[in-house]
Amino acid sequence: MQITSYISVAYLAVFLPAALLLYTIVPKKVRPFVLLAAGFTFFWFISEFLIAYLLVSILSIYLIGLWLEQLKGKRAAALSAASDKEEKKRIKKQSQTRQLLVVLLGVLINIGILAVLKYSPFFFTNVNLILRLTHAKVGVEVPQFLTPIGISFYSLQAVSYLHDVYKDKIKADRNLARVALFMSFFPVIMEGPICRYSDTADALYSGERLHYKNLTFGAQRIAFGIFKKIVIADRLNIFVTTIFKDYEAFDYDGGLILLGAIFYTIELYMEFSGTIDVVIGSGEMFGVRVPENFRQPFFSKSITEFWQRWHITLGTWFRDYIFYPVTMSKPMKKLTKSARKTLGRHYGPMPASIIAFFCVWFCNGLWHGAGWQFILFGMYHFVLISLGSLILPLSNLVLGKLKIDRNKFPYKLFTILRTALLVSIGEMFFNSRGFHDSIHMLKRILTTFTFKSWFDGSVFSLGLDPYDVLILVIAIAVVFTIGIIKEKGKSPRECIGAKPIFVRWPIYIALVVSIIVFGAYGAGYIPIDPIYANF
Amino acid sequence: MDKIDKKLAIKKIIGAVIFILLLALVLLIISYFFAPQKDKSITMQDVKPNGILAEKDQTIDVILFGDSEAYTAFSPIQMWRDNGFPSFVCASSSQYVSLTESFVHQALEHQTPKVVILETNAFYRKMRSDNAFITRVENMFSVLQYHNRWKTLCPLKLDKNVNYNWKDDMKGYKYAKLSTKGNNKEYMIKTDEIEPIPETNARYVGQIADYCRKKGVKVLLVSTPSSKNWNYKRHNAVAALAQKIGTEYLDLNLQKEIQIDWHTDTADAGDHLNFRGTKKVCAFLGDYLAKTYHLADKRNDPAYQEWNDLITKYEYLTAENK
Amino acid sequence: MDRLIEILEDIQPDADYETCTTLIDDHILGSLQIISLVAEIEDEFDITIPTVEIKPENFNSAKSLMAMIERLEDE
Repeated sequence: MQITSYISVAYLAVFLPAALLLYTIVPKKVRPFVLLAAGFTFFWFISEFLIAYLLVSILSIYLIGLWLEQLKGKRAAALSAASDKEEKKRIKKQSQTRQLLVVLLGVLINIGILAVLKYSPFFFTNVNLILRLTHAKVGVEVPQFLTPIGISFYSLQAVSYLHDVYKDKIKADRNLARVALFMSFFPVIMEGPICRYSDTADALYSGERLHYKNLTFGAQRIAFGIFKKIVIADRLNIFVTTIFKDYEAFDYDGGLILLGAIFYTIELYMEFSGTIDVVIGSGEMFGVRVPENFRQPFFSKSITEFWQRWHITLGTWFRDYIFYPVTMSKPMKKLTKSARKTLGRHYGPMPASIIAFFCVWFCNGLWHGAGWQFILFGMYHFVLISLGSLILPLSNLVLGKLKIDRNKFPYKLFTILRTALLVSIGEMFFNSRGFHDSIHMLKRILTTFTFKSWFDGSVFSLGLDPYDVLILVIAIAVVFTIGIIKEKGKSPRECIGAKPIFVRWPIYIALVVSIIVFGAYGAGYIPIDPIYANF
Repeated sequence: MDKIDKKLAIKKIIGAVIFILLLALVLLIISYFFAPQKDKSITMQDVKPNGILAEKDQTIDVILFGDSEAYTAFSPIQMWRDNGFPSFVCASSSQYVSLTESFVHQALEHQTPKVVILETNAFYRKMRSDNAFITRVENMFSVLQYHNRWKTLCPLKLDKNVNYNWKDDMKGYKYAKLSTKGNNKEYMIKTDEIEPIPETNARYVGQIADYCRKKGVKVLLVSTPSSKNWNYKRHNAVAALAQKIGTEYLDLNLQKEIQIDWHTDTADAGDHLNFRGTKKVCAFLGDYLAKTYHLADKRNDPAYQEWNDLITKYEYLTAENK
Repeated sequence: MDRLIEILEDIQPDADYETCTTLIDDHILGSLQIISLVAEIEDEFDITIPTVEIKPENFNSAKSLMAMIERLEDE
């Protein structure tokens, strides 16, 4: 039995039910260990011996957490013993330096593993490129590593744990099992969300029994996630791969490429948020509230807002562990203060935050993958967000002159569509095969764009027939409606759950049946031009 | 736990069970509608390997199974035009041999061909071990297998474009016009080494061969030309397998007279053939099959008039690449 | 408190700081404003605000901000 993703028969029909069953039949005290064993088993199924990397990370943060705690204890003791203010200051400073070194060691271990495994091939490839440019005869051998699943996710969790202990946000955990469980809860290990220790650790370790409501709500959430993934994302995939793989060979015009980018963005959202629904639903079944990762991102009115609604846990991670630490560092604070005097209210914090934005988006790009197109993806957002802040006074002025009200619906709609379009371009870079393709596709959109290809039937030659399009429209409308309900602050599940049984059950059954009937899966599913679909 | 709690828990469990039974019932009912009907008015246009169900019973002489290699290399209409025997390609992308087996069973229910051809590239497609299980579940709830038929069952009739229609008339062949240059480097370098076929796959192939034999149908294994997917190690493994299960084996990669030019005859740099390559393969294969299996020329048989009509359409649709 | 309100109004004029308790939740103060705010408060009250204190609970209202400032002044 091989688990390839959360939306697979192996996970949904075998692994998850088995874990639930085992969890519920053992005594309360043993339950955390069932979860832990499930996490390690899950990891083993996919990455086998590479689990060693995970164990190193767990052990390192556990020990360094305790070490920090010990230093803090020493400091407190020394402080209460010290009498005058000067001495207290000295003790504080000394301890601070030590703690900083210790926490840096921990970060270095965890980010170091990630950097070596994921980024060193990219790094050395580029070194070779430079060497070749300088006509040097030497070259470095590019190392290749097997990377364990979820390393980009759990490494960030590890760093957040260390940071939070260091900054006294949480106390270091003396219980190794709880730390291990926090790092390896099986639903989140593959694709996040990136959890904080304070979010999940206690709930995971509590061994709370299964509740009927949690089970049903979890199952509903999972079903909805599968719906998004296999009815919408998998269906769009045929179209999207054709465009991205062969836009050059088939000479697709800018209109189709842009459509490909938009469809890809929808696909990515349905795929990623659908998987996260399965993840959160799985967590919910065990009574664990995994943090939300999406909040109707396509209702965003700016790129900044988009990133507060899309892959939220990654955004807040960068905000808390990169953006604020950078802008709040001493030299940056000084910079802000002096800049406020010379540049004024709006532009004062700009220099510091632009530097911080750069750090955040450079890391964000790299985090998504080792390749220049990902760095381009990051830099694209950096430029958009910085520009957005820089021209805000100007756009306010223009809007004022034109007497456009920011809060009126037409303007809001305009900003929402504009944001969606800009995001789609970014995701196009993200999905392209490399830096060259990113630029080339953008060039095509800018130079050969027409709406003609949207309506002359070309769309139907790319793997979707009119029936597929019909289903896509309906399915996306369903997801959109649910988005609106959520946007209004209501819970769709509570709404449906309050309905009488002869309304409620048909809805649930319709959801499952529509997944089975309209899902783009199975042997019979043959795209129209299969050469460029998946073989 | 007090009494009320217990009662409530039991009630919930019963509720859940009823819900699941109800769901299963709904799926079974739907499955009834989705299972392929003999009624020819509902043909399975969009499920290509099932297109054979739309053919008249006992009319097809050669049925070819396999993955994308098969449906890009074999063109039944061309072989009909040049050699006069009716054939059909039951191939789907990334076909697993477990699925091939289901297709073979299904096809032989209504057809008794002279020969069944298995394209060998699929032999190397590793099955996920849960596939056999999935196949079993799929057979019970046939909606899982035939769910895509909602397109034909849909009361709303949407206009399907040209591309979509000719698919059916190609008898399973998929036309590929694109040409992406490959290279003509020799890829069939003689060796004694063997690249083993995954064991489960070999077993399935054996089962298929046995089944066909029981039905009195000959089996031929064919490797289509593919400089990307094929090599001598695989040739050796398939030749050994053919001997073991008592079938014929024809490796088109070694038939020099086909003269595949990898600069012009491949759709994707040596992975699949394009139409130019298909023409060459079918010219050879048509003659080979007609001769080896003594296939009768049915071009003048009035029962096959439909097939003759398809030639014009076929030539029209493939014209730009002639 | 008055000094704080003055700072807040200088940074982001259109809000009622006496009553509003959702400065962060309603995005009245964005990250840029927070950067300015921290710099100004530190200057004005002669304290250092560590990054862990930068959380919605502390920044959602003028009152909670003042509480944080007083707490940090004591340390």
